Amino acid sequence: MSIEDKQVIVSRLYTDETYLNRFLASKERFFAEEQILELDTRSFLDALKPEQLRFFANNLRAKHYHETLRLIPLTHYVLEKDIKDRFREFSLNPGKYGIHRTHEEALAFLTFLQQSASHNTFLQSVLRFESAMIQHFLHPVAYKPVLFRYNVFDMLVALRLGNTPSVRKGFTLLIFRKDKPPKVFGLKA
Amino acid sequence: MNHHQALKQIPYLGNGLGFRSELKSFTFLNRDKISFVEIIADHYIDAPGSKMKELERLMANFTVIPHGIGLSLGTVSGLDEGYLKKLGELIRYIAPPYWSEHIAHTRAHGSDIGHLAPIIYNNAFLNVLGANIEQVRQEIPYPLILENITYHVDLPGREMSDAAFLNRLCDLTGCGLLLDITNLYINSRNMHFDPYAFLDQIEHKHIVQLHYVGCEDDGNQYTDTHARATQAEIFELMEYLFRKHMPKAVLLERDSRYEYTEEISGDLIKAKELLQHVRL
Repeated sequence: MSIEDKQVIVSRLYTDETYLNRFLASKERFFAEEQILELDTRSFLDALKPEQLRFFANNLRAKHYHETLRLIPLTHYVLEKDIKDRFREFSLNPGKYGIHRTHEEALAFLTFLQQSASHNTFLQSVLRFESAMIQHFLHPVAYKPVLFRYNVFDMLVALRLGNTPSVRKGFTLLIFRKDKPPKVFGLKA
Repeated sequence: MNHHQALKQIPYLGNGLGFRSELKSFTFLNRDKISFVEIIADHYIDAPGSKMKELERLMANFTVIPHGIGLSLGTVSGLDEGYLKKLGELIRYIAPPYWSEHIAHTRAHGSDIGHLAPIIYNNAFLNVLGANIEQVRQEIPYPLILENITYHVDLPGREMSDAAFLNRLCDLTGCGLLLDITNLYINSRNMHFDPYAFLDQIEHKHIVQLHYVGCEDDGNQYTDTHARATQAEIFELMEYLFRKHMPKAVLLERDSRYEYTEEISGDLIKAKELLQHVRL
């Protein structure tokens, strides 16, 4: 097996928790299932220290988690401690991201949360709002209106100022503008 | 001019700060302590106009050094050519005295790690890095310096010490070294080696720039959170190095807890005093 193949296996051990758990549970079974036959590769993988692999994998996941939270402060505020477990569920299936990895990963996490929050219109508004903010960063357009059922922009501003955001229901129109702050309009139902 | 000569031409930049948008006001208000800035190159690739305006403002006020995080020079299967091209466009636009990347891989075929992961310090990886850096040079004709990372996994197959690997890498490629003194300190603690012996073994002529910042100790492992004031032990390592060799640039790399501006100021002042004290 080439050093490229070894690098691929090690990278997957760092990032794929299920794969790592299978490896640490029984190396012989893992080698058989993954059809790793060469003695050189087996001895390379055998020499990896489980506690170091586990620490690095956990550390990587924690870095991804904290970087993601920085981009979705309102979702973090609304979900509170639950967000950690949800991110862990989300990270069981690592994705492929590009140059703006942190933004793309945060966007994928918001999509993951949206899929299980269809019954909660408030949370849906928050998730759609932060998705729209990130999408506008990644793909800015001159003018993009988005309608929400809660004034999430005001909530974000309050949060950033260190205040407790109040939840106000009512149609809110946000117009995202390229290289300018969004405009916010309150609408009567 | 060959690569080694190009490194010698790099001007003295002094004391710098890793620029982050959260530190925009701080950076411009503390110009007496900051003589250059380093930007994360990836933040300005495919970036919206507001980010490019930010970059223009930085370039108008400071020497700007691009610091890449996504090139993945240690990937055995080769570089992402699309990314390299975009990185090249950015660096040619900035036209810096030099730029930097990590001795690491962030992806392998089929797996995107998303962070810096270690390579094996052996001859096979010297060849991988050599080939990838040669390809980079075709696209980016500015001096490149390489940064040591922290590693929590000691990969089997190592053939040489950290210092010996870095010396050989710099000799082979003509790249300079961005010595992250905090990463050196962290690795020495986690992997149980003497950081002062490393500083004696590393060829000082290779060291162009330093990175420093505080680290965390959870009682089990030291980690590079880039979130704390720099520990006295790290400044002591810096002083030990300065007495043997003065790098062209020294930079604080803070990535979190930006609201603790007194810590950030304190680190910048200590580094500046150390630079002035040892230079005298």
